[in-house]
Amino acid sequence: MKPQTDFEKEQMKEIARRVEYLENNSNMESSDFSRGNWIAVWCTIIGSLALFVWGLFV
Amino acid sequence: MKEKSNREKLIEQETTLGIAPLLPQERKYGFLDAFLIISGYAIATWCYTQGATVAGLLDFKQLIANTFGINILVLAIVSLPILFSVRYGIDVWIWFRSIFGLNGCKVLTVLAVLANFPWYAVCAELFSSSMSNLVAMAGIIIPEPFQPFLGVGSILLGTAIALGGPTAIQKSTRIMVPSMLGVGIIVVIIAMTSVPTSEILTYQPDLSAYPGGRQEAYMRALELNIAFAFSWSVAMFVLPRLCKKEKQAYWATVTSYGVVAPFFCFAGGVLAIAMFVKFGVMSDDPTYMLANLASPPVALLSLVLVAFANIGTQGVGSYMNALVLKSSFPKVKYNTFVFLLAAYVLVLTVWNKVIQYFSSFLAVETYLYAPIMAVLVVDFFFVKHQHLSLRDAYFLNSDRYRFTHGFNLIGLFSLVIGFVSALLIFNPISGEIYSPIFYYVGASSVSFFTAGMVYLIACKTAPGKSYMKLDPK
Repeated sequence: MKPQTDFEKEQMKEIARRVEYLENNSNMESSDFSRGNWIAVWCTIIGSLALFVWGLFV
Repeated sequence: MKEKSNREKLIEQETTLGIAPLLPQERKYGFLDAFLIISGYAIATWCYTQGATVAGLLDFKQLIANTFGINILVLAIVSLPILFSVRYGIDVWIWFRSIFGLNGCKVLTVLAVLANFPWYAVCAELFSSSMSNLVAMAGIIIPEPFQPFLGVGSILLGTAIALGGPTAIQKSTRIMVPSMLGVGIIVVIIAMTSVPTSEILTYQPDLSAYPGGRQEAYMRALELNIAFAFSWSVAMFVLPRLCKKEKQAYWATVTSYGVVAPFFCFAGGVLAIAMFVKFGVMSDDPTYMLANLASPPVALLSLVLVAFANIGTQGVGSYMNALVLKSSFPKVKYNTFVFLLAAYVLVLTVWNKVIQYFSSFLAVETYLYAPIMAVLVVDFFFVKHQHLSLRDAYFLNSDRYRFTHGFNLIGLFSLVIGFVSALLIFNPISGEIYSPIFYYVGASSVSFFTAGMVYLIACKTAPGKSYMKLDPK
């Protein structure tokens, strides 16, 4: 994806700057989504599925 | 001139930042901020049309189970890739480049917006309906063939807001969100008070048109609710990437689209049931129901609010969809996309059949979105294991995701398989059921699982790994 206009060149330059910053200053491998959140996700999925299935039999 | 320059600068900034990754210090939303903003967008007036359509298939208890069960279930699953949106500060369409290729993304962006924009024709039709009902209250009857043209006013005003860029959007949102909430509160009060609660609880829909009876009706409602839940996904990742934490973004999205919006669908459904109980007519037009069920002053107020809300929704929708297109076609001017979208929705509105074919257009939309989101979820968790090289995704001295002339054949093949598998079960246009599988799981859920499985299996084979250029780690 080669930038052609001045705007595109500036855009790519800005993107490159940001990517470099993120690579050097941010831990992109770590997540703040804790085990408790994952448990809540599973409970939400199972609970909503159960609610849907209940609707089949009422 | 200076004002124009500032406006263009704002739009440029928005589109530039729409593509570039956001830095941690630029992310400003907590859970509450994100929840309020996303909910404000989610409670559009089409929620009532959706609720009324579903209420034609289900009784009261089923309406609760199907509406909330399916919307929460789908949103809880398809919102999971929001974790990467926050972690990397990018929109989903950047990640999609690694799944479908850059040109594949261009095709899918256009298809996704084309499939999504009939929702705004629903808005325009509701606007024309609210205006017709308003003037009818003043004793002036507009002939039916001319009514669709009233919707043009909503499109033009909404387009003007979108052309005004982020500042105009921000101002219109200040009018739109209170209008939406006002309508919502009126709808809930009318729905709960206009007829005895016991009659709403014992309501039974007329299912004589469905040979499969309650089971078939429940699965048709499932398709409608899956489609409604998936319909947010095109622009669903734009706002959450502004959140400071992954958990805030995820739960704000799930509660807004999965609980708040369905609540207003449910309210629309109860309003339709109330209408049926009182007049013996099941309407899917919320403005018609408001005009008939509410007292004249309340009806007048609610119709004015519906009109304002629809103009605002049109503006925000044009803006967001134009930005989605802009992310794939950065060289095309933002205004060009806004005008193209206005022309498209104008044609749909004057055609005046979108609400009539509401179920069909919803089904077509979900046939496209379900496999796309399935491939995304599988790619995020099981193929790339939550890791993406930003340098490669932005093509920074890298051709890793160029694939076959800009198209990733594995990703696109998976979509086609998902699409075809749903078509073999249910015809979204005619509503014809081809396979008994439909009575147990619907069609779009099959599309979701088939596309996901095909993509996963293809990516686990040696040629697939090589083609996808997966990280050996």
